[in-house]
Amino acid sequence: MKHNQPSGDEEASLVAVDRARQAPGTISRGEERPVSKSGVASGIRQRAEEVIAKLALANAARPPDDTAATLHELLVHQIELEMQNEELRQAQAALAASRARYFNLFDMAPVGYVTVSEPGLILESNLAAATLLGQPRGKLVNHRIVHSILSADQDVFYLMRKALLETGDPQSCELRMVRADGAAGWVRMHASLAHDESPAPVFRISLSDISENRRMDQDLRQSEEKFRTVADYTFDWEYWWGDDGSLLYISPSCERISGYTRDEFLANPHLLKSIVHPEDVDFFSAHLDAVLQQDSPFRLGARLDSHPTCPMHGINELDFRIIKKDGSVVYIEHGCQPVFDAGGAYRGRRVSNRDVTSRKRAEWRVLENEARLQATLESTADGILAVDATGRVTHANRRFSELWRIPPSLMEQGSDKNLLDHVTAQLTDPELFLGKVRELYDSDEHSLDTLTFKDGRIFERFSLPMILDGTRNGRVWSFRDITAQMYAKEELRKKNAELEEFTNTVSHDLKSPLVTIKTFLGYLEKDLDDPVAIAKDLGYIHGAADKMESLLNELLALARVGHMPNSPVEVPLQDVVREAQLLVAGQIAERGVRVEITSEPVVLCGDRPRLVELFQNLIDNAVKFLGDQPVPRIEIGAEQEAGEIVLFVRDNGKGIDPRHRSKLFGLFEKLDPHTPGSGIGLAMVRRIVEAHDGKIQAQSDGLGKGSTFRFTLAKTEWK
Amino acid sequence: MPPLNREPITILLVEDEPAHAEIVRRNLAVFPAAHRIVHVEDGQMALDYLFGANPGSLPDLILLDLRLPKVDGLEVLRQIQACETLKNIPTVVLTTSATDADLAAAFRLGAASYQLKSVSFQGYTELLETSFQPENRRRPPSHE
Repeated sequence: MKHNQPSGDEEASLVAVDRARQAPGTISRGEERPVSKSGVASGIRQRAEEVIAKLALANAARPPDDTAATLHELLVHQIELEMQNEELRQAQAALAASRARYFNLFDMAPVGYVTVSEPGLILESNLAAATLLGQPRGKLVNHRIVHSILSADQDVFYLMRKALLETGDPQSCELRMVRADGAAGWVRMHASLAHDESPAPVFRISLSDISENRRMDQDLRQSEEKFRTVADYTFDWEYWWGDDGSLLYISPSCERISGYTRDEFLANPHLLKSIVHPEDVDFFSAHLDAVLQQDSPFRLGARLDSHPTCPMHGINELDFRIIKKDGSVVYIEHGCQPVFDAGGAYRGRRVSNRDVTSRKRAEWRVLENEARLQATLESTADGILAVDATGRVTHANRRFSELWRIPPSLMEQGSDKNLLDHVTAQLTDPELFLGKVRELYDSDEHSLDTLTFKDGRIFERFSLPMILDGTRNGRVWSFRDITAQMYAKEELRKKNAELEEFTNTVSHDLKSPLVTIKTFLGYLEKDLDDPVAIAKDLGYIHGAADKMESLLNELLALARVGHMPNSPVEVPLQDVVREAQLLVAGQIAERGVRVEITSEPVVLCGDRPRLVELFQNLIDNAVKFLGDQPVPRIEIGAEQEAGEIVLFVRDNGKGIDPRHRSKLFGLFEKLDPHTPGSGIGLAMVRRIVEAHDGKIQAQSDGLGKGSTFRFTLAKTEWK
Repeated sequence: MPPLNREPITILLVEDEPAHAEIVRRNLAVFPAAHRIVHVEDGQMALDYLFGANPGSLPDLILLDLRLPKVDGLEVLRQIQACETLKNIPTVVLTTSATDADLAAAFRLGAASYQLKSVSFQGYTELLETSFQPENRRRPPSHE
């Protein structure tokens, strides 16, 4: 405190006192002031003598005698006294001025001063003390100082007083003093013992207002506590490397994440690196090296403001794993950045480690699910398309592109419109397709319908809304090509109809001779006396029985045609036709038919005996229906037609009535009762063709214009 | 006595099976009146006969087998029913089964009755009498 030291003001006031001594009206002196008391007296004597000498010059007539000498001495003494009085008066005036200045200083001092008697009464106070205690100065005199001390702090004062009295050494303390208006404030007291004129000691006490300091201390403490709370209760594992690489701070949360306590980390700066997962150590070390390199200019004294655009003080991020104290693996998301003080000086690096294990696990599960979904999507035979709530395609599997014949370039374009155009262009009814799409975008409905393609394909379309957290955020469509299934179904339906017809036919045709037999047996009983009638009846019965037998044989033959006991072989068309021709050589010769076989190199593939049977029946059928053609001719050949080879057997016979064309290949359909045969030949032809995955049709320009049977057989090739 | 027993009529028999035609002939022979039987063996011949004949020689009754060569019985029936001059001739369908789909189709097309080609061809008399009276022609409800 300033009051213990000499101040410039005091020096200034001493100079002022000197100047006061030389005030006008005082005796002027040409010489230095005497330095000793005797010197002062001899000086006065000398000056008195000089005054007498001047007076003697004025009274030169007076004789010098004893009386005169005594008188002179008296005069000198008188003058000396007067001079001394004058000097005393001057000294007193200077003293009074000095004292006034002293009181001024005392009062104006910024520190409060009080003199307190041993019993505790204030004897004297300066203005600052009065101000501090909020009292007029006059009221402080004889005021008990303890009355101005907060009662809770009065002991502090008594203890200090006690120590002061016991030791005699100056004492100080801090306590709260109460102003006259009741407000309390912190005051620092410094007290020392003084012995004035009275035998009892007095206390000289200085009072400094330290409320502001106290408040600042408290603020500082609160602030520190706040930041410590923030730091110590962070959820993430926070720490701070100093610029010398020492660990300045580490949050207690390190224990939750790593299993190691704050103290363990503080004791061993290498602990962190040592618990990094072995597989991650390399890139963690690389990270540390990079960071070290990055911070080196700062470590060497560069300041932040010298690198204003330097990217070096950005945040460095890194994911790695650590092995927790209990041996489990923890995924850490690590972020660190250099830190600088307010002046821009490098202060090390702040690090934040976050435990992201559960997030990583969740991410892994998501990835796993995604991989599983991807594999599922790609392994299904259905085309899958996922669209978001706005209709944008978010996923399509490969099968989808295949089914819709979407070129990879179009898929990559990612244009929903182009994709939709490509898709709808293939359909027979694009509006129906789009209408359903639009209708379902705003709906949670499932849907199932079929799409028909211009090229004959049929797709089944199924769709489900995608619901996420209760909200519809897209739709998944799946497309299945059911063309083969539909054709198979249609085929089955036809086969069933055919089977039904077959059963009806068989039932009819077998019943018919049975009716004949039974009826004529009844007539026979009545005709027993008439031999002619008996013969006639028996003739019908025989005829019917023969017919039944032949029907049954043919049924068996037809049943066999459906099976192909022989494994398929490749055989030239010409070989098959020649073999068939031999089997019907009798009829051909009888009617004088010219049979022409193509020389084109066509190779059939199938069950050879059945293929022979096929051509045998066709030639036989052609011969039967040659009618009265004078130059009968049968032509057998093959021609390329729309990607497949069509075989044909053409004749120039009677031709086919258009009305009969549909019944041509039916079982036991005899279109002409006068031609030989049971009507099973063409039924067999069709079965053989179908057994070879082919189709057959009959063409004729009408009666008298000949007919052509055109058919395909799978695996027929030009060779 | 019903007219069939007293006056001879003309019957068109469409039947490809000679044995069955013989059976019909024998059954009709039981009537005292000598009915005239015109026998044709396929549907085409039946149509040719019906559409080629002059109105005076049209049959009074048609006995029609359904399974016929060339043009089947149902087609013949359809054409008869489509023709104003022919559709009033009662047509009896001959069949081996009382339950087949062809028979149902025949009724839809306007067949007057049917006759099972049963073992004995019983009931011809009744059949002919009911069928011959136009007001008694049986029609399936669906046709109305």
